[in-house]
Amino acid sequence: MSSSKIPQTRERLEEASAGFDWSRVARAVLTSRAIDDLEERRLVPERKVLYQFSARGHELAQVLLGCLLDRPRDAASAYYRSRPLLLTLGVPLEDALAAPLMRSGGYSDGRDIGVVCNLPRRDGPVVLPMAGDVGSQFTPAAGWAQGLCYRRDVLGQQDCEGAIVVALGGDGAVATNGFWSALNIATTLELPLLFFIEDNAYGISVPSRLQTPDGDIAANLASFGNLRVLAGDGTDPVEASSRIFEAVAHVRAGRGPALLRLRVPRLCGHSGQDTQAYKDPGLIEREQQSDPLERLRSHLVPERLSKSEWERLASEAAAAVEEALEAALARPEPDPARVRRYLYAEPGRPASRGGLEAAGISLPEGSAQPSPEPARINLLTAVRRTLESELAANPRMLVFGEDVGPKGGVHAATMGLQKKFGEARVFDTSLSEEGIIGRAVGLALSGLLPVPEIQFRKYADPAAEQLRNCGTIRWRTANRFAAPLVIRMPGGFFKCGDPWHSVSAEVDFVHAIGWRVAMPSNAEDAVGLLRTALRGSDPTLFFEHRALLDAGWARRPYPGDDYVLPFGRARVIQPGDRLTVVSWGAMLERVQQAAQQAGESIEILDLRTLAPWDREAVLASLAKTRRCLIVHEDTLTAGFGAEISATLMSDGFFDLDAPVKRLAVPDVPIPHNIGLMEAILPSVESIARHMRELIEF
Amino acid sequence: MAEFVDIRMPEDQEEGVEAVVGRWLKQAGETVAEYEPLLEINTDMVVVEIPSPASGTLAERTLDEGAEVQPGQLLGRIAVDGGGPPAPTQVDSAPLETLPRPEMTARRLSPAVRRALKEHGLSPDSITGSGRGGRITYQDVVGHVESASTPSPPEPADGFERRPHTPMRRSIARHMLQSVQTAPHVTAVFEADFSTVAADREACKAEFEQRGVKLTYTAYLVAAAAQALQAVPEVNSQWEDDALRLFADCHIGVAVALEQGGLVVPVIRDAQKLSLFEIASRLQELTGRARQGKLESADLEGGTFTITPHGVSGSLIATPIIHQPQSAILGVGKLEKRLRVEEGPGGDSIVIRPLAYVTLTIDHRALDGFTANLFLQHFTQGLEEWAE
Repeated sequence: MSSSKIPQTRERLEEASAGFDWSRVARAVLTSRAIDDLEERRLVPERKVLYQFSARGHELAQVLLGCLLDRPRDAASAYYRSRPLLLTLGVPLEDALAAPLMRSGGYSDGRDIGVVCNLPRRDGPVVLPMAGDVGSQFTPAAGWAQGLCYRRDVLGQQDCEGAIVVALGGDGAVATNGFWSALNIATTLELPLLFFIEDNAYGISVPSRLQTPDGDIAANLASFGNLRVLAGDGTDPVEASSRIFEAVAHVRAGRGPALLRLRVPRLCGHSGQDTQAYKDPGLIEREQQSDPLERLRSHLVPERLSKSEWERLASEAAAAVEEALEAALARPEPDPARVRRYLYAEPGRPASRGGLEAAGISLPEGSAQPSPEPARINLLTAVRRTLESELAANPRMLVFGEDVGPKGGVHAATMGLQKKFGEARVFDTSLSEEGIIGRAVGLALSGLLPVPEIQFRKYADPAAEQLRNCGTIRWRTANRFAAPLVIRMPGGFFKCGDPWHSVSAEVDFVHAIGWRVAMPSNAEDAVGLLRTALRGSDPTLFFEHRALLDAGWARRPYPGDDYVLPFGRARVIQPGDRLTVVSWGAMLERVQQAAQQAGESIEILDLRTLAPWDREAVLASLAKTRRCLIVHEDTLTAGFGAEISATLMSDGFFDLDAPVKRLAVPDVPIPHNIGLMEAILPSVESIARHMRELIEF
Repeated sequence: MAEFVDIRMPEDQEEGVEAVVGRWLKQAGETVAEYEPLLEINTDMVVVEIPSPASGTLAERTLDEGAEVQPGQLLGRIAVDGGGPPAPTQVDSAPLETLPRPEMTARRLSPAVRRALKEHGLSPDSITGSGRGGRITYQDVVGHVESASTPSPPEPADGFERRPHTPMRRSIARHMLQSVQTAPHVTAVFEADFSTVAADREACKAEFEQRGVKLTYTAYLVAAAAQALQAVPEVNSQWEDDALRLFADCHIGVAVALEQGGLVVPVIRDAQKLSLFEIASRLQELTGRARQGKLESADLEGGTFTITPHGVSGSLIATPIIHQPQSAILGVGKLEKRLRVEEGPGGDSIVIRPLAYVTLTIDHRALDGFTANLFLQHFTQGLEEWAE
């Protein structure tokens, strides 16, 4: 088929649709319907499937799309009603049946909902790991699309030429942040991304007119720049196939992104529990009249297929589903002993897709022995030099964020990097943190190393969904996928404070599953931890404390381009035998001054990383001093100090000769006024007072 | 004769980057070590530190803060001397705020102490606590075990023995050091005639005895001190940064030496309101419990003034260290009969009197010698003209 013609008339539509393998289309549609029939009529009533999502009504459009995703570097970023697409792209039938039955193997080894799918193929289209959050599928798709351009233009991978990514969503999804963020990324950068909107007029029970004016996203986007907008009836085999063909051809030809809105009926509730009582009976009746399966049959039979051939296809599909069901039921329940596996990368077991390891690339291990230069550098320069040396060593590494390009970052950590490495590798982004992190996830899944900057800690809030989902990808897919990336995030108080630029709240990221969290207190540790993260296989959050970026206390000699520092190793800043003080980040300078003021023999531990954290070092120090004070800048209630304290109570109980005390910012935001700010931050005096109090206890 | 080493702007700066001298971290004449940061150079938003090329003294700064600087340009000079250790870092010894005193700690055992007692088969009654409110700390148990396991220290082979500090020794050491670092001490010396007091004591002793109380000279000291404090209230005070805090009530601590070493200072509260009998009775109770190690934290807290009757062990004159945060401490030397010249209407005569030297050591921030002498006048007069 030629992609140069844009069919217009019915005749031309039919011409475009003639290129499809309609037997394949029929088989896939019938198979999907057979699974839904089986689940709805038997497995749900028998309580073997507890959470059922039917694709009834959506099948034809998805199958037609699947038929066109035939390039090895193509990808789809889909959602929970996308099973017909996955069946078309080659997901094994047994996996498709076993997952809703919560059996072992398959997409998630029983960890995720049966229709939250993925497909980590190496030689064909990939289905990115889905999430249950509506709207979160869009920005990772934009990341994969940008990755295609990067792999083609910078790495010279010819097979990325003409490859595309499709982001599927419903009419509810077009109201989400992720949709608009991805739309901006794709259109401003003219990425090969197709937005495939299956509009069934309802988000569970909410009508689409509440998602976008008049419920028509295609009409509303008519004037959007750099976007080809198409629309059609997703139940009409001729119209749907030609519209899908046209949209795919537009994106494949490198003309930029497209959005295709196809109207489809939802011939079932949102899920097995939804009775659709909110729909008028007349509407339900009309929806049943527009069943795409019936329209497909009348399109094919008898003109293109005989009635008996259709019936044979239907019975073969039903038999195949029955056979797959038996095999799925024969699969064992997932092993509870393995439920903690794959939270993080396991040595020698790379994920099937995502990250450098899965792409067969290994970076040098580095040396834990520093080779210091004579001059000290500040922490900011430490970060910049480490980024620079790793960008030079790793052509798959990309650095991006707001203002990181020509300006060099508002904190100057990326100064000069764009000039040196080019705009493809170091670039500014649109002002959407959801977009920055979601795009990074897509880039990581495609085998690159994204290193996004979140300008200030507080601005990570809009990215929370992508960030949390990223951390659990490896676990949710039972090691089929991973998205290793390194987020640099400045934060914390500085000369003055405020509730927006001075937030630390690091415990949020410790609580986010699957993340590694570094909070270096000096330039040498910053180099070692950042390089370890950049050569690692797990999502890592690297916190750059604003008060430390140029602090004299944090300056150290640059430890060399090879220096790495393993995570989870605390450093004893000074030894002592009367009291252990555990801290991290910018509080350590104050802790050290307070220990001098207290004039006692105090052991100070710099945790350096919070996930993992060096509990053995803290327990060993407690066994020596019998008393422990924890000082942190994050707010007190459920701050990370609470975790340390609870661990000491449980595992160090018989070493305790005094209560474990925490000194932290009270539960208030950081104020702007310097006096107010200093009033709530742990001061040298207040730390010293707590030290004496504990020692005298 | 010193040699000079140039401090120069590094050549390896990126082309086209403007650089200015940011901040000098060292003053001319200051000692610097090799690689110690000397100054900061600002290039756009990046700050670069220039380390010292040698150990010595910063002899000259050729560029001021804010001056533009080119690669290779001279920034200053280091005078290289014979070297030597760098000056010790100044430790900030600002006084600590008074700590809140948690109650209910005295009789409680921590998990670490419980385990240690069990491991060594010890009863908590056998150990003196040095923690808050007399709480037994883990170190107290360890100290007890160590002292018990080494009953007689081995004869030192090389001329000395090492006697580990007890927790109380450490506590006294900390407190004494803090006191002399905090307050400038000055001592005034008077002599007191105890003739009247001795006669009164002889008269009252038996009656007190009958009521179960031993009448000591110390009771008279407390009573006379309370009277003198009321006459010169500045002495019953505490130095604060912006004011002198004067106390209305006289809570007088009396230093009691313990047989096992060390000392404690139990406090007689509201001494100005107590009769001699009440003072003697309270003293007997407190010293008794002090020697049994049964004082409670409340017995030791809240003193506004302290008396150390150091003469009981033979000393004539001493200059004690102030019990912080009080303003003064009264020392009373050995009471002994000495010759004294008395002027009378019939001319001078030599008499024998029971005399003792009394000293008042003051925090010279808070009080002057005049005030100290005024207090001692009232104190000695109170003793010499004793009448209850």
